[in-house]
Amino acid sequence: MDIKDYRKKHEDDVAQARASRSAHGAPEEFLGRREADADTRAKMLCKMRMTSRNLGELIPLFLDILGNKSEAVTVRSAALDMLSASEFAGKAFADYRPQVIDAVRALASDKSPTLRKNALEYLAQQRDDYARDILTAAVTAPEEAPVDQAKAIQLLSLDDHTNAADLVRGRFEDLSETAKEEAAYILGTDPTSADKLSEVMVDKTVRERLRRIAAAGLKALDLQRFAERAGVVLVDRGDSARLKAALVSMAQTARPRQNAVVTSALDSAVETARSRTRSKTLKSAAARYFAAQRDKA
Amino acid sequence: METIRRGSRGPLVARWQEFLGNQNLQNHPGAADGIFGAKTAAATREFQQRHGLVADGVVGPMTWAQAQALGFGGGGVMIIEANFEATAPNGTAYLSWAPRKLTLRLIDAQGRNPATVRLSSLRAIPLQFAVARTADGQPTLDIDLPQDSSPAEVWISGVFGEASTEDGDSGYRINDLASGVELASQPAMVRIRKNANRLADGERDRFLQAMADLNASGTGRFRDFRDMHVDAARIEAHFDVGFLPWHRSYLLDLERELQEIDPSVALPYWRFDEPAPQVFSTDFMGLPNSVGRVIFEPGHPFESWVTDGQLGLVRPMGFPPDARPPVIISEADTLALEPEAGETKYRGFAEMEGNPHGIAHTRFSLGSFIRAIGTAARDPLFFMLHANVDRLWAKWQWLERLRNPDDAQAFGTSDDNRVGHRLDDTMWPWNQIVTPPRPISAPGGTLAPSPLTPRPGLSPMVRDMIDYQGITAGDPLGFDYDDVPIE
Repeated sequence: MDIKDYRKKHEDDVAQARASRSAHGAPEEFLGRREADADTRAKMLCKMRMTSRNLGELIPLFLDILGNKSEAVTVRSAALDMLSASEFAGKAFADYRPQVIDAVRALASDKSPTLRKNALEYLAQQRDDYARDILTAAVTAPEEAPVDQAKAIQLLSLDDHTNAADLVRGRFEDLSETAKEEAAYILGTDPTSADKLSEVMVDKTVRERLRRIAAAGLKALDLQRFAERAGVVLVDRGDSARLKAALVSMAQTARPRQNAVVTSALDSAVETARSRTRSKTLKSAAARYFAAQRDKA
Repeated sequence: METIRRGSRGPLVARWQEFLGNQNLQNHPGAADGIFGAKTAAATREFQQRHGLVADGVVGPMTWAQAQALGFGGGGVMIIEANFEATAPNGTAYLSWAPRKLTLRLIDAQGRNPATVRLSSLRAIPLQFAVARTADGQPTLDIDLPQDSSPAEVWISGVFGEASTEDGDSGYRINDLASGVELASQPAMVRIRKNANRLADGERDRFLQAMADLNASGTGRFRDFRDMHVDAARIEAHFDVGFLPWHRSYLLDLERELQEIDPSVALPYWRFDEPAPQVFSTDFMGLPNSVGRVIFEPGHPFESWVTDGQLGLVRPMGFPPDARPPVIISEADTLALEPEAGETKYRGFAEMEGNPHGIAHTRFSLGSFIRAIGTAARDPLFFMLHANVDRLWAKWQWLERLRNPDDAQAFGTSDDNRVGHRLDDTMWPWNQIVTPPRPISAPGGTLAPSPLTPRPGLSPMVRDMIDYQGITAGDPLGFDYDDVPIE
């Protein structure tokens, strides 16, 4: 590769970029196009040139739009999007944070379901009390909730002031399939849930993905029990090759910490699974498992 | 000839081991691996005893003389010593575009005068060679080694545009020019940070496995990297001129930890101004389900990913996985960022912290870990996003020729004169300072050292991160990007 030509190409590209830059992206342009359709206005908002120098001008504009109930939902969503982005653009955002939180809380009771959901997601990430209460209700009374049960469980897990594990543990069997998966992610690091995860991991009536999540959680909680249960699955001729491959890969990643607990029984189970299967995925996983064992020996 | 003894290493030792192996000794020296160990010492003592020499296991002038009388070195092949500074403990050399020094010494000319050797590439991925530290090396180099055994320097680098895909797919050999006999060789890897969307399957899988091993279901060293990028410490790394150097140091620290696990790994970058369907797939960074939970192929190393005591990743996408994310400005537009009146060029470029950097973070929907400063580092994609931020800075530095930290245009001035954002400030957490105005804890300790380079040191200053290729600083930091050359 000729570096001089390479440089020239880049210099030309940059010169062209500089030459084509216009006032496009300035707030005045957006404000001057009130007659444009909602999608166009939303796109203009998102293309606003945001720098640390103009945050003091932009953030109030975004807040105005967010709070304007007569503005289209897509434009107000775009304003929330830009407020999230402005958090990265400069320290000035910190001065506006309380106003942003207030504006988004107001959005949590908006008539638009999209905006209510967006607001809850934003507030959950900020570990906001108000969102916590609404999301908790969504888990216990999902019919009336602004977000579905699975999403509510997921958002609650972002907030370490919520004991999401307590909330889902007792009602696990009553949850929807997707909500069960979200619950399993939470229970996966709850020390009192090892028994439940152990049970789900080997239950062939349970969806495979849920079993994998349970296995990953059990691995994080109780390595020895994970190894024992994985051994049970691996030698079961009637169980899924995909699941077995996943368990073997999990066992491989745990190997550095497993010296005391990886028994020859697990190695034997992996070898049994490998020798019995035609699945290339499982054979590859087993090969990597044993190769990792040799590398670390 | 040089005296060798237990503990000595090198081609001369290997020749001595070969010679002993042909002497019908009861004590065989073992493989001619160039390492003078117990077996070689025992064989040496037996040889000495047999020939009435002091049986001390040390091969000095008397023992050499006896050996030569029996035909040692009679093949007319030079013996040289080669030491390459970019050699890892596993014996492989790890190179990038920045030239690294190979020191050669003639041990035994075997009558050759001049003692000319030829350096050339050993394997498919080529290297280039020069007698001075330059980016313009040649595919082969002939050099006369001084007869008095004083050192000669050769500079070796990867060839821009030709990166390795696996360990040992490159290397160099040194041949006696007159006879063509190979005198020494070393496997190498031209280890380069690449576009994640174009990785070979093996490269991708090694990176994923190394990250998963570092995470170790939440119990591994990854926890420190997650804890370095939290809300409480945000001003150490953001909203001021130190944003780019801090993140460069952060990525370097992580990459070196990954290379402790697997030295063939380099941090890939997510080119966020282009579609990246290979990245957003279930066998790489995963795809979200209906509630934004990231799903991976069964057996994927990230199935057991744990951060903050929680299993799994959340990353609902705000754009189709095979499309370019909207709103992010292009590479050309980023490189075209200009300062306002009175500002340095760097200050103008550093506005990229808003767009494309901040916009890239927020192309994922609300609830994504990567969308907020305080949770972004929970998601391994975050490191690939920042590798692209760093690549853009590296490319801008190359285009503008601003690699010298003493060039005023290469950096800027902190608006608030904030500590950690001035050229000669050390950076938290690697400086381990936990008194105000710094945060109250400093996770992770000092910056990970490298066996390949002494830079930037355990507690780097902001200025140490600017000249990453060692153009003025001498030694590089040990990484390069696939599309940013050295000049």
